[in-house]
Amino acid sequence: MVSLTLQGITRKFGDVTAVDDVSLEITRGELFFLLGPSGCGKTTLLRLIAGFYAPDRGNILFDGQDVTRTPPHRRNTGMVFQNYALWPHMSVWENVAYGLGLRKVPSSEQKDRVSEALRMVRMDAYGERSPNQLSGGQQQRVALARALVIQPDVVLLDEPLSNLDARLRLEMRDEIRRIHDETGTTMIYVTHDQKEALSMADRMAVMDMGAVAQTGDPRSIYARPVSAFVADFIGETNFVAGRLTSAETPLSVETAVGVLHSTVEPAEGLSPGDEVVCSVRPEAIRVSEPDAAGGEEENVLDGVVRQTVYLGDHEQYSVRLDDGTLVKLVDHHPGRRRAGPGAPIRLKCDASQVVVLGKPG
Amino acid sequence: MPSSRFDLSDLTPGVLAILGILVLFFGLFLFYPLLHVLLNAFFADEQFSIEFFGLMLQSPVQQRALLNSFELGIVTTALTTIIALPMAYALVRYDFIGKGLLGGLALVPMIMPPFVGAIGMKQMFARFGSINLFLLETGLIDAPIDWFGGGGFWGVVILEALHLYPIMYLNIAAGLANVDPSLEESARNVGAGGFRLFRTITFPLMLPGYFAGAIIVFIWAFTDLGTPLIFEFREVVAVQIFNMATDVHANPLGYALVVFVVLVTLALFYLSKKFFGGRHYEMVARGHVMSASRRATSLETVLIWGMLLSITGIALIPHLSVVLTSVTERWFMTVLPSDYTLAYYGQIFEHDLTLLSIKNSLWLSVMSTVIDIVLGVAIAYLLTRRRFPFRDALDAVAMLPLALPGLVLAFGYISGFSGTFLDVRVSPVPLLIIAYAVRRLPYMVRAAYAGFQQMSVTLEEASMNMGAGPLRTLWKITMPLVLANVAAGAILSFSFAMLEVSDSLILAIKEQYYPITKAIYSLMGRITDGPYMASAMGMLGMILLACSLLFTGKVLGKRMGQLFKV
Repeated sequence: MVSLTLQGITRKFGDVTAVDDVSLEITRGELFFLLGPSGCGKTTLLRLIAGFYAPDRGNILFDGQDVTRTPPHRRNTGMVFQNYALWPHMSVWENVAYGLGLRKVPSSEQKDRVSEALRMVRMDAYGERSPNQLSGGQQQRVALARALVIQPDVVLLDEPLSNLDARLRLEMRDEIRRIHDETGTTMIYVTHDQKEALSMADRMAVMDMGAVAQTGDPRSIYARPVSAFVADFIGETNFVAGRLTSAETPLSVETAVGVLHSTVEPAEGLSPGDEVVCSVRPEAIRVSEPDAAGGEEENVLDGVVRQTVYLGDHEQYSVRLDDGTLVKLVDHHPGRRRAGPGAPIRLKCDASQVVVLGKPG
Repeated sequence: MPSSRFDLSDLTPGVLAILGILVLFFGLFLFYPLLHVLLNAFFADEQFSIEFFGLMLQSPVQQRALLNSFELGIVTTALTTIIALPMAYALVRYDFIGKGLLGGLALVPMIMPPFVGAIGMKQMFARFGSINLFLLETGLIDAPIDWFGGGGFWGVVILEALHLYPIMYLNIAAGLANVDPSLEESARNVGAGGFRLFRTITFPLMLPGYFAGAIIVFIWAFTDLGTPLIFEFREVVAVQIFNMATDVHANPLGYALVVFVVLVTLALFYLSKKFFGGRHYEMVARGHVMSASRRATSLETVLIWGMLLSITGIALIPHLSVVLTSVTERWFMTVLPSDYTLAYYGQIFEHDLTLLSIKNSLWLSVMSTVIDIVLGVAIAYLLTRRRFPFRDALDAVAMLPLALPGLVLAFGYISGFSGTFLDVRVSPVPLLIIAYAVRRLPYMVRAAYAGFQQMSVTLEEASMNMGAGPLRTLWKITMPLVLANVAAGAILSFSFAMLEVSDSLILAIKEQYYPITKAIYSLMGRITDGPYMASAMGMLGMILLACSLLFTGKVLGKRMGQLFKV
């Protein structure tokens, strides 16, 4: 297992810049996620790491060793392809043993390691089968075993769960996390599914249009997105547009529905007068009964309930603010309905839950 | 994905080496001979002149040959159209019992070389052949009919048409299948029906497919050498070139004739590209698409069966008579042979000429097939798996031999390599092997191409990812997975090489190097047992070809048809 360093990687296809000046540090033994919408360059980046493409600019280092010009078959990465890419003319066993044969591993050791790998993915009973006789989930496990058995420096997973049904996907998330913890291998996992990333990743990079928008652990990215794109892509959020009036903490933003304060340090240099958006997660918004206490209250939004959806353990409210902006919120203790459709409602949010972001271009 | 920059893994030294070999091969054995012919046709004594073309057009023999060849091409094309059009319409637009069987049966004549069929045809329709004798015996006619009229012209035309109509049918059917039925429905909806509908909507839409077929048929008939030779219909361009090939140095007229053939071929392809190349009839409107075919009524079924069976039946007569001839002990002035024997099948393996020719053909075909496998797989691999400059050019060059008459290539070889160590008068073996290989390469490329295309690239990437280099990946992963396709292409190349006519006739000069087809041709000249032994040899070839096509069809399935389209 190795640490990975990407330095200013750029790769163009014709006029399209698929990967744009990406620099990343991935530490040893990390389960690192590349997350982004389709076409954001995450798969291209993974294939650059595997060596299937060469970057136009930049360097790729494994444990400090430059491998930018190393062909794919000398990189010792173990890739799990989106379509699994199991060789149909070989049995499951032969598929897994292939890489060991190439490494001239003695046959007795090969036997042990293949059974160990198949056991780890719980496919030890299927060695003699042909890949065509396996279900999607089983093929996925074999592909994983094939990548793991060679004890690669880094395991590369390209949307490994995208071809599975929803239930199997949940199951395989746990499986892959377990296998990662058991082997301690560095893994880079590409996905467009933010839930997959949030639930599994040690750290992740959110990518947009070929560039890295933000790097960090799931918690910090969710709570402190650095751009409207990240805030919107990871989880659900509400945006309220306004103008920054004070750039000193606490920040204040003048919006059409009143002034919003934020105690969150802004990620980018913002100055008073800038057009901004305030991102507030649905679960950070509370309902405050109108005219309950009176007096001056901070971060108050007035509106009318448009719709409520009761889901047992929580209730979702959709509220139209006075300026027409739609806001979603979640009540996690829906003992009673706070207000029905058409009723006026007052919303509150903590200044620590309001993230001020530059208005997206 | 288009890229202005090539990947590190794309233009590797290995790929460059393969490209280099391909450039050398095509340059030497495809372009150089053509260029040589071209230069010799236009430059007499280092002076540019078109004097040979003048000579060619002034000589009455050449004039007649040119006219005859054009007539052959046009009449054959017309005849195949008449046969293939209703056939394609019935098979594409109607569902009926036995559709698959009859559709398959109708293709059989394509695999029977007309050269061999001609032998049987002669036996059947000669002045005192079976048909005339039968008609005389039954008193229907008083004097034998000259079936081949015009010194054999109609014999050649009929044989060519009966051989080539499946190619026309395949192309028309493809064109017809492309016509979205909803377009016809909307025409009906605005009041066009019957023949008007066909003339104004269906026909224009299927025209590109029709022309593709028509051009192949025309060029084939225009340049076919074997059939006119057997019918001794000598005043055609192909036979003229054949005659002149033996003394290229004494008579430069041959160059002019070959250039003329090349120009006709080019002009036809240019015209078809110009008129149909950019004209893709996009069938955008999807929505509810009616099935293209409808169930035939019982009357229609009877009519379709009658039509298809009689076409196939007639088309197979020449070949049935080859079968009959090959087992004939005595067949003289009787409708059917009076005595039968299998002796000729034994004799062809004892007789010097035939045995040697079988050995020669086997050896030559095996060697040319090996070349085809190597080059074909390499080209298909590059085309499907690598990005490199002039990719489309390689594609076009590899397909060029499909459109290039064998005659032209053979003539170019004879003249271009005379005096070198490849001179056919020294030994035609190397050039025969290469000629076979070049001419059958497109089949191999297409078969392998289909295999590579079906196979996901990630299977190869997974192998590289596991640590296998490009060569090992090719050997352990790619080749096993495209093996069936490569085998199909190889077998097809092999059996076509075994029955290759024009290159064999022109290049094999000495008897010790005769391949099967030239041996058949030379046997035909022997009065006594010649035709019988020739027929037995022909049978052998047909069985070989039929078996290999069956196998190829099994492997390639529906994509089989693609092998025969330009």
